[in-house]
Amino acid sequence: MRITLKTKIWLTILTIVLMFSFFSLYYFPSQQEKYLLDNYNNEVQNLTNTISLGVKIALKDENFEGVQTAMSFVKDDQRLLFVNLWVTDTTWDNDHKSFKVSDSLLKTYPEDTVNRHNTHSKNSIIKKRSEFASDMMNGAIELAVTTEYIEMGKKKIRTTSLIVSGVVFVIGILIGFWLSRNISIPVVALRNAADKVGEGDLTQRVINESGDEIGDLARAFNKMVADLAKAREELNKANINLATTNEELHKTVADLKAAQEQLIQAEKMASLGQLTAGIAHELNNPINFVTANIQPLKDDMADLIKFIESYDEIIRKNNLENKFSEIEKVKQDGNIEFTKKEINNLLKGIEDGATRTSEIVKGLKNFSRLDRNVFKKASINDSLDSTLTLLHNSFKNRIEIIKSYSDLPEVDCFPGQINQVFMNILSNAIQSIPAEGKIFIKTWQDQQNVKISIRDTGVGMTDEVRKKIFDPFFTTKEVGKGTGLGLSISYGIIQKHNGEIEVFSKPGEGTEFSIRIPVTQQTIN
Amino acid sequence: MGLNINAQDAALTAISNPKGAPATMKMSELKSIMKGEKQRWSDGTKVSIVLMKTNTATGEITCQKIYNMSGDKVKRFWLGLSFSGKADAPTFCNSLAELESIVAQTPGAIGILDRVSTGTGIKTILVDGKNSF
Repeated sequence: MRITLKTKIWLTILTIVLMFSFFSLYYFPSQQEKYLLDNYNNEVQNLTNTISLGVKIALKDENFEGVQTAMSFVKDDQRLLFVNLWVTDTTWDNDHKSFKVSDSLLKTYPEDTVNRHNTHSKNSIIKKRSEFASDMMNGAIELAVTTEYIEMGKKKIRTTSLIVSGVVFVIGILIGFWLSRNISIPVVALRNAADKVGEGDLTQRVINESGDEIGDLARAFNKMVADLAKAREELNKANINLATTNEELHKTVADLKAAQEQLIQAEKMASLGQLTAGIAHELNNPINFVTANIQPLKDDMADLIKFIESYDEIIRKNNLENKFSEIEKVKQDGNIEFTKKEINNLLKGIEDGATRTSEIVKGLKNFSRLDRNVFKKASINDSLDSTLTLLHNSFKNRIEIIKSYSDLPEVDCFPGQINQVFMNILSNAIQSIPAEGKIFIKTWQDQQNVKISIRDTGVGMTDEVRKKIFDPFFTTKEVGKGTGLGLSISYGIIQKHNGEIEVFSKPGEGTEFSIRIPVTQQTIN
Repeated sequence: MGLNINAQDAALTAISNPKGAPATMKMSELKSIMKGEKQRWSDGTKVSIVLMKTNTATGEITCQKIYNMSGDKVKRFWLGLSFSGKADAPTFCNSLAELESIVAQTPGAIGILDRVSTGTGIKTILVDGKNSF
């Protein structure tokens, strides 16, 4: 059972009041009545003794009026009922061997004693006796007084006790209320405030201006809550700072990760570029031999064919066919005419292959140009073509490339990185077309900018995907088939060129990338 | 107090204030007056008895001759008489002079001496025709 502070206060007050009431209503009155009765008895006895002494002196002086005066000593006492003067006589028998003592009433004061005596019960009378002895006689004074005054005194004591108890009870109740108001109520208010503070409400304050311990407690509580609020505010600020720092840290980590990936990718691309450049360089010489020798070979073959034809013409003009029948037979068996045509076709095929190979090598060289943090003048159209050349195998026979190039000035750029951007965008465009489709490539100049539009008729993408395609590591490809860094790196490269890259797409309607690159760069990034 | 006087031999004299008491009376009449049996003199004056204290020689003789009692019994006699309201108690004196003085000053007073008084304002009552008895 939980006893509240208020209940404890009231129990304490009630206990004190009840104990006081017990003492004031029962114990003290009974003690006072006892003392009163004792004092009354003593007083009556003393009065009796005084009268007895007075009578004795008067008798000794043979002053009978003095005896009466002594007996009327208490005549003005309101409590007096009567005073008796008894004479004690000893009566011997005739043989003077035995005697008996008898009291005889000699005098009673006042005269109407009988009447007054009858008006009182035995319980309301205190009767005291004081014996005396003189030469004249032995006797005793008997004084009887009423106890009415004692009863009145008792009644007065009880009434006073009752009033005092009532006053104490009322004072106790008032003290109870006062204590409740000054202790219980502030403590309860303090508890409620503490509960609310515990629930997180730090605006709670306790109003108590008293100078006692409760007031000190309230002030200490208020200071504690204020300090707590201040500490929490500082903590919140620290948390916010920490969250901001954490967010920045995460961003920094992401940036670092992206930068690291970019570095890795750049390094890979650089290595690939070096490798490609090396291969292209190595291939370039033999291809140059082939390309350079094809034309002389063709010329030589033409001369040979011309020589053979001239030789045939001379035979025909001089009718020497019979003499050169064996040669003719060789010609017939060898199908020289077909051989001549085939030689031309073969030479053309060799020439086409060499040209094609040369273009590939040129494209590789162009694509793998090493950027050394210095903007170089480069042709955007050439970059696009080089990229298309490298991607030729992935789209030939199913995707039609529709170019719409304008005459463009060469732009300040890192050509290798620009090629990487076109490679990423065109690769995605080719991959977004599941079967056959078209890719529209358009370039044009807009004031001091070169603009490129690459639009495909692929599957397109949702807005949700579109918003994330430049985020690092975001990919819609299967696991292992895409790093999710291609477009992120491309975005970074265009930013690095102070340009812009935008994407427009709708599911089922294809995708268009729009790129803007300034013609000239003010600074080298 | 021991008394060497023989009461039978000692002579007593009855004196009175000039007012009230008669000049002569019988012994029985004197004893009756001394026992409070008479409250007023013939002229209406209130009888006032004046005696020597019972512990004096004269008082003791008076108790013997008038009351035929001891002194204490005389006192108890008068105590009872006075408390019963039948008579006023006598005035007990310590000396003869005091007794004479009181008798002389109190109208109707009557007292007992052991000699014939010569004081003024006092008259000697002849008891059975004698000054002393």
